[in-house]
Amino acid sequence: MDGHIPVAEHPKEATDRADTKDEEKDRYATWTYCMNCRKVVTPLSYISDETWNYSFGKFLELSFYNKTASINAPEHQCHCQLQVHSTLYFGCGNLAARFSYERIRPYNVFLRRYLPFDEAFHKKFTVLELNEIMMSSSDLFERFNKHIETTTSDTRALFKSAVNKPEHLQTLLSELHVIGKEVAHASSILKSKIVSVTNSYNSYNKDAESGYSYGEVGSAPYDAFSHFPWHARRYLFLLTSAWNERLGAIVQAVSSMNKVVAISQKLSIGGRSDIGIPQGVGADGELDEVIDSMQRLKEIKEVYANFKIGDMDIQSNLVSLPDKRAQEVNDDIEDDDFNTEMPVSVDDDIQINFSEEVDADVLASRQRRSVKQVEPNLLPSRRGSEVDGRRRNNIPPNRRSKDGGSYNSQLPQRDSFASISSRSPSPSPQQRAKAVSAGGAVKSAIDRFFRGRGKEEDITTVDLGIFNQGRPRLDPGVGGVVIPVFDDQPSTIIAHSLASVDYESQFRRHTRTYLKESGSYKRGSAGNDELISRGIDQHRSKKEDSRSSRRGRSEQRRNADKISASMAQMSNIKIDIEKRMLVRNKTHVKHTFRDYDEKGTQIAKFVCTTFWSTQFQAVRQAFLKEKESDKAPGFTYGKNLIEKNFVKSLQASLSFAAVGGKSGASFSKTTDDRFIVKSISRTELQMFLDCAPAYFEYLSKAFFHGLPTMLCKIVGVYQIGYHNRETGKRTMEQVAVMQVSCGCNFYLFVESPFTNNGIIRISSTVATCQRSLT
Amino acid sequence: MSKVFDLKGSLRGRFAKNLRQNKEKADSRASSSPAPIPKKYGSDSDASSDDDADYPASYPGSDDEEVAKGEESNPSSTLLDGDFLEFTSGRPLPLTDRAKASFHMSILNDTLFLSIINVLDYSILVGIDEEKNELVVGIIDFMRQYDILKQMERVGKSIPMVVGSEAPTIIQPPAYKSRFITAMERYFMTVPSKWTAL
Repeated sequence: MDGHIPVAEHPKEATDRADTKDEEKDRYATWTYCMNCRKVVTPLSYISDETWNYSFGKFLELSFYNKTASINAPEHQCHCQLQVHSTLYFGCGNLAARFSYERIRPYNVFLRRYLPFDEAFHKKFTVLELNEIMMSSSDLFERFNKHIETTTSDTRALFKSAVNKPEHLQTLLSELHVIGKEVAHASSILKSKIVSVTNSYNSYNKDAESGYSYGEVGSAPYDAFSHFPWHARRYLFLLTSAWNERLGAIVQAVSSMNKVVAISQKLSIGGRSDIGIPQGVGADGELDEVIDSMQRLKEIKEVYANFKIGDMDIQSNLVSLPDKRAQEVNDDIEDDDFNTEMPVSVDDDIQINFSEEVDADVLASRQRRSVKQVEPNLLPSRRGSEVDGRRRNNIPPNRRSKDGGSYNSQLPQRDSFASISSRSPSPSPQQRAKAVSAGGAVKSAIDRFFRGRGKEEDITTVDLGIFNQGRPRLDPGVGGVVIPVFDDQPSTIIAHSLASVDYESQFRRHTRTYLKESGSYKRGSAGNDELISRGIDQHRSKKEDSRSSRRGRSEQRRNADKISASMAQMSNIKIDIEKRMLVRNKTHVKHTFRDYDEKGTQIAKFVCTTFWSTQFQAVRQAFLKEKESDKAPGFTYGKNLIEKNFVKSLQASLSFAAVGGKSGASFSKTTDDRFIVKSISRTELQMFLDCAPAYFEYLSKAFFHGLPTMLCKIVGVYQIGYHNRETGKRTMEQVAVMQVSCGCNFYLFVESPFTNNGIIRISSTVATCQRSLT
Repeated sequence: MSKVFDLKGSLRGRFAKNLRQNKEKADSRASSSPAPIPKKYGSDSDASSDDDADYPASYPGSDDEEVAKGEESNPSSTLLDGDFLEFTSGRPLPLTDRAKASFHMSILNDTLFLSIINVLDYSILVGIDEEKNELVVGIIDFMRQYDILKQMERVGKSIPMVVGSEAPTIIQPPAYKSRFITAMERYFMTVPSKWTAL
């Protein structure tokens, strides 16, 4: 490339050379210094008036633009290049100006027109996640095995004493055995599933590479692969918490049996000789307890009877949901700032259902117990009944069973589990009433209060580790996709909401309204989907064509037709996107979801309001796609695909240092470097809501009419509310999701503990994965 | 990307260094404002004071606080207008003719749009990739509207204004726009190539 003249003047204080010969103050002098010879090669001479009339700019151009000219200074033997080596000086009085050549490398400006999905990054990420799951799960299975082992030996030890019924002990042992087998089974299933998902994705990818090298994201194997980690984690969570429940019941039974043994021994030492079955008053409470725990075990067993470990289908919705939800969702329509207080916990919730099948001796002991509570006599027995009361409250499975039936699910896929639950007995109100004694209710409330600290249970259960994270009890989204929620990452709340069934249905409603109103437009978004899918089909068929070794001319012509047809389709799609972007109706979507603990108590509530949902969706479709290409038009579009990938990006983000933004608000960046999630103030949100139609109009010009713009595109505006009932923390913040403005290699500027200079580069996958996985 | 600048078109307090200092000793704010442009490039500092002449001291306010609030999360890395001038030695950053043309058009479009919807206080993020010789640019922070509060702020900030300090960044949208455009013209220049049409 040619060098360019830097017409930059550097006025300089006069150097020594300038005033060596000061003949006349007002005359201009010039001299030349050669940078190669390192000396002044043409001595100072004054510029004549005639010369002064010429164009100075032209003079400079001639001096410096000419590559071949050399310095004319024979007396100094200097024949260096004028362009690069000479420095021209001009001086007047005390001032001097210097001109020299400097090569300029002009910059290009990179304007981002498309922000495609980085599949490679997400693949790496997924692989890391899968490794993490492999390791943690084998660790977890190990811990379960140990737990089962110790419990088994505890149970065996009980055979030494004749106090407890051997058939009870047998039940416990067989149950333990069953759980042990399940652990082994689940472990092998998980391993094989991870391998098979990875393999099918890899082989598919190879196929894709041999055919077309791009744009194959979002196809089924990729979907299955990328959603697998969280699906697996949820599956493991549900499975292991079920084991925990069962083991907990067993441990309880064992411990109450131990107590019985201890008391009977005490009694025998105390002089009584009826070691057989302790009919004595003293051990009564403990006996109750034993019977209760056996009963509970039985119920849990029933609940999980059809729990299929092998059924790890990505669609399965394993958890059954508390019936409270359906009502609360209705409450929420008015509930703007989530002022709903914690629902007064109903005691029915934690009561055991005494079904028809309750053993006669259970009922008998129950009656006995109620007498006891009125008239406590012995100290140990009173303590026993207290423990009893508390234990009783621990009993969740019946809640589940009773809820499962009434849960009115919107989810398209219902798994076997809910139906199992509905099968288990549900109590009549009278039965419930019978079961509760007034004192017990208060006591259980107090117990629950203390249990809230969660100390007691830790002894009998296995810590689920990473599988407890991400609020796994939340409903899966459309198509059974599991999107975890982390309280400290607003983007995950958005992601979860966008993938939810509720969002989808509200979104559809908005689309329908728009279609109705713009009656002239016949083809709906459904039509659009059709178009897209047709485009994809064509793309596929074309691929097949290209693989077939011989192709006739007619076939080629047909392909050409196809291409032009799909070009037409593409422009149709474009028009459709533009139209949807320009809809002026408000299409806000408010989605509330809650997380419950294993007892069905609500522990957190999330509200995510998506503003201008349909318009922003159109923006995303126009912006987040692959670069346009002639090869496979239509394929670069795809509503679901782009949305899915958007959700995928939002699913993991890294926070900037806590301070930031105008109001000390937070900043975070998705780990794939695509988006920044930035907190904005209420006024900013209001401003945006007012100006949104103008914004969309402006963007549509940019996307579809070639208007040059450098605006950092905002691809979504949300309001996120979050209330954690355990910590009492509630927040409400407004966020804008926007493109990362400085390209893919943007640095994340954090006062970070990881590096000294405070800069971490997010493309280092491992660091990010560590963060999101641990 | 070796450097990222957040440019607003005003030099007042827009040094990343200053920000850090300001945080340490808030009192020194007024004295640190004038841009310490190297002496030998006096002509350029003239140019920037020309700009100030266009926006005399009646444009009140100072972005010191706002900047200190807004960007203290990344004080060490995102650089500001002052640093930009230091980085380019006060000379405009050369762009290829095509790049400059689209850059210019984009600036005009975007600022016009933003001033129509009464937005100001936006800035342009310029990431310089010296390996690829490429700038990655984007206009950010365009969510603040000029409203009553902002007007109050303007009046409030006019009081501590000292004569000779740089023009503030909080001014009315059209003024903000033209100051922004002027600054961009000053920061970036076209380098003609053989094929550049004149």
